[in-house]
Amino acid sequence: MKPRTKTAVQHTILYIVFVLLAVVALFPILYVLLASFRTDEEIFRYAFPFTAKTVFPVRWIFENYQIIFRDFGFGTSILNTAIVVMVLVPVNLLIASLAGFSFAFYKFKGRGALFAIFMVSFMVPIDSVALPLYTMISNWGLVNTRWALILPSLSSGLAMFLFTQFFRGIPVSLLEAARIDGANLRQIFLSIVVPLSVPIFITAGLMIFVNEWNNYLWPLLVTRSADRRTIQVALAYFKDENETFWSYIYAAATISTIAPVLLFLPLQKYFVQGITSSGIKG
Amino acid sequence: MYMQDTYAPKKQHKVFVHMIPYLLLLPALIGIVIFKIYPILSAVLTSFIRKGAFSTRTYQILFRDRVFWNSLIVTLKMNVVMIPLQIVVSLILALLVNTTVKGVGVFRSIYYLPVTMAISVASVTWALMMNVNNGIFNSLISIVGIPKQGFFTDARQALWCIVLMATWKGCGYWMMYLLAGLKGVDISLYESAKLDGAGYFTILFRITLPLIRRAMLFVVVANTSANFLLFAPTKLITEGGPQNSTNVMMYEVYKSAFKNGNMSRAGAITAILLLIIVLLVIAQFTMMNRKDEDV
Amino acid sequence: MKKFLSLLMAVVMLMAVASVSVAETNDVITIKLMMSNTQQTGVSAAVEAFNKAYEGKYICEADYLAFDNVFETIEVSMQQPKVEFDVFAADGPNISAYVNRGYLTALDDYITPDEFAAFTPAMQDEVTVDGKIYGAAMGDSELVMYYNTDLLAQAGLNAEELFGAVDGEHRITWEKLVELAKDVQAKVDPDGSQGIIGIEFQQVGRTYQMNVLANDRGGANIAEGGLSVDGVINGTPWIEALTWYQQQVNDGVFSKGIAAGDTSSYFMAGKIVFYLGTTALPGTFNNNGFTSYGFTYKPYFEGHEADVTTCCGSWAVGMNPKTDKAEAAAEFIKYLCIYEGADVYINASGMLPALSRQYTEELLSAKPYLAIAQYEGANTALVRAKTPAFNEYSTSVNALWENVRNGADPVAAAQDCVDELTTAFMEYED
Repeated sequence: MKPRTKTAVQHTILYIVFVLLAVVALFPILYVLLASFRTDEEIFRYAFPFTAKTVFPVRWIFENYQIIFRDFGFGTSILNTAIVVMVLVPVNLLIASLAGFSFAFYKFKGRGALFAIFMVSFMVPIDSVALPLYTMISNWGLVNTRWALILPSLSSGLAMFLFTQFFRGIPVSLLEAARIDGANLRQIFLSIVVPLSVPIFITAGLMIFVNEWNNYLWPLLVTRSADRRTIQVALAYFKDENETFWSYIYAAATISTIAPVLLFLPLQKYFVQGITSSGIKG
Repeated sequence: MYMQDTYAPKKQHKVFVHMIPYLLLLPALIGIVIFKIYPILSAVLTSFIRKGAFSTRTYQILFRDRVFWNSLIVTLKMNVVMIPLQIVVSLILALLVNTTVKGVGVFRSIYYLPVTMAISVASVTWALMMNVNNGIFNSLISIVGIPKQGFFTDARQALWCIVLMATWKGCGYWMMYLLAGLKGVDISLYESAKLDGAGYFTILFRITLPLIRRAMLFVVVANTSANFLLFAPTKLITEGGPQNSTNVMMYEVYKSAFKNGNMSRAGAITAILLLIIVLLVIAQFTMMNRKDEDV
Repeated sequence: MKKFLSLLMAVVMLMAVASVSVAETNDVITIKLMMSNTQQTGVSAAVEAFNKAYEGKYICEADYLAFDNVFETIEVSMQQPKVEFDVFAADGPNISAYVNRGYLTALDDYITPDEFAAFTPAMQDEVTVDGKIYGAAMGDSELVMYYNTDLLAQAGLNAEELFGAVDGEHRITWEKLVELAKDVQAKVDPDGSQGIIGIEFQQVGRTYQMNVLANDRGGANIAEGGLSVDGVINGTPWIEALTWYQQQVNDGVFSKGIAAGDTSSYFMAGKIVFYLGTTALPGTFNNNGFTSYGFTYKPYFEGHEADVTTCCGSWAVGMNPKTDKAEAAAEFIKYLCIYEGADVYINASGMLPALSRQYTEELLSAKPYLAIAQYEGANTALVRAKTPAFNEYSTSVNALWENVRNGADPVAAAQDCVDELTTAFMEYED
């Protein structure tokens, strides 16, 4: 909603709402952030009764961050996750957008059945299919490799569905007009469809990024050595049989939560109102 | 409306042009079939195999299992509330961050932060906040005189605590899709409506919502699917309790597959869960799709 | 010519050296081991020693996986036709289940009765299924009661007075312990705001330790045959134990709302007075610089002096039935659990020994709490329920203890548990 003018009162109310929601969104994360600067002993000592000290560090320490990189190889885990994501996002965006283009703009035999196959693919979780999937990966000798992390996620039915839905909003007449002007498929795709769907590509990219970033069970099953672990798997190792190293977990979690959002922040400027049919004349 | 094959002078070219839609979706299809469809079929088939032979005994035992039926009810109960709740909250968030005030990008990122937080850490943090002894929630409400609540240790509250946590965690995610949908709406429509004297809610329900229908369908379907499959909070905080009140079907699948070594039962519950989701999604498509767009 | 000859010499020598090393590497057999990362310190030391002792013949390569996920990986890996691991860590109570699923092969051909007799009776029992040996225990665990000396002092109590005369045959009762706990809580934390917990089990909400309350009243863990709990869990000793436990939670003596993984942190932060836990804890206390603790024998219920029980059992290693390196794998297992490797492991890890011979004067004087463990191991130890359905069993029984802790009616909850398990056991009928 973009009214042309906003009264000062409306403006203020809006900001108040924004800030309240931000507090709700942030406070568990703030707890984790603050706890990452404490020792485990301090966290548990001030657990009861609930006072400011339960949340705020009494003595700020920075060792947790050093320790997770130095003693637990967290840097490698970040690198592994980053590599996997950097391969998956572009590949997924490409093949899902092409598939979405097909479903949105073409009518062909078997379209319904093929669409259904794509849809069903995201309605079953990894936990249910881990064993047959693992058998496949194991037979190909790919256990404990980056390929094992990449291959199963190369194609996303959900991303395809997203592109299909949003491409349907683009009037076919635009593409037809370009076609008549002599554009081939590649040109149509790149010069018309993509520019109109920049927010979708970003959103889809985010979807793939986040799903992979938070992926836990599958990487856990297919990685064996420390140098192949991803971030979520690494979190499982901050633990002993008799105690859990919460302060390390909190430090790792802080990094893992904030990093993606730092990447996301600069992309905000591409979330602009799209050019719509009424903007195209003739 | 679809792309017409407007010119196809030579026969080979005609064939090629007809093949285009198939070629475009082929790479994605191959990936899906190998890494998703085949394993799904394999898992469902396993539900009919016991000790190497075909058998329906797994289903016989399953349908007589009180715990299974309870998990079905818990799953339905949880989602009947959680799905509409998340969609409404996400829509409100999307409408809010669709405004073009200064700094809205920062707020969008903040609302997205819960999404990037690891579910394991989020679960643990919420368990801490709702701790029956000394969590922040109980401490705050006891200041106002309300007695301390059991939250995750109370069989009547635990499921709703999970709904609360999952909503907090997920809404930023769904907000982004609805926002993308909102960005595609022609703002001149709002202008003319306002000139005609339409108020905020009239515009919202008569213009905006119908125009973001496709985005809404996506969110409704994806949200339904994701929430029916959600079991990490159950696994990490309550382990299905108290008294099986948070024991969702996927947790039963997980236990059967990874603790009890019972792949047959895991496959059976997966099949039933998949069936439920598919039926719901078909209903959603039927209700929300435009007449001129068939699947 | 001279140049050519020296070149030829060099080539021949190179080939000789190469063929020797090729021959050598062809002979060395690699044993793949899967182990929990929580045992990495001890096991890696033993593996190193093994590789040195068997250099040129065998070499062991180990993967240390996160403790939480060893079990998941075993499920997925052992169901592959391909052999990923020749030897793997099998948690004691899971052995029956693993045998049932075909993950373990019998070791009777490799371990002689004399060798097997080196293990304590309880550890022999833990790895035996249907009269056959399916694994070898790496270590053991036992239940000891720790107390916070600072809290006792603050309450004006003298630990020496309270526990000086306690030994295996002369223990304090649970009833008396509750009185003491309440006394300390009243003095140190009168309004409850400090959150001081009177008594707690390390593994609260877990069948491993909680069952001890029922065992102490004469209750068994499972019925004969390992496929029923009817008459056991809904029997009198269990109901009495569950009711007693709920009463103590309601009175604020035992805690509510804290999880097993965190109890040690609470104890070290001075929040628990009496803490029942394993013999591995002093190692953790040391690592964290916590010294304000003492230890003694666990209590018994009034009138049930003869029933007093402790829980035991720990990691074992077993052999993958599909391995083609059975000889080598067996050799490794025996080295790690019976011969020199066992000593290296126990020294490096601080775990409780599974072999009778390791309870030496030296060890007992270095770690006096192990004397308690030795006594209990010989007199009161009860292995966990032996059933192929152990995972289902522990899921339901864990839930039973937690439900009762959170206020469910003990009789109804126990019956629910029995009903659930009766259905679960149906999967194991032939």
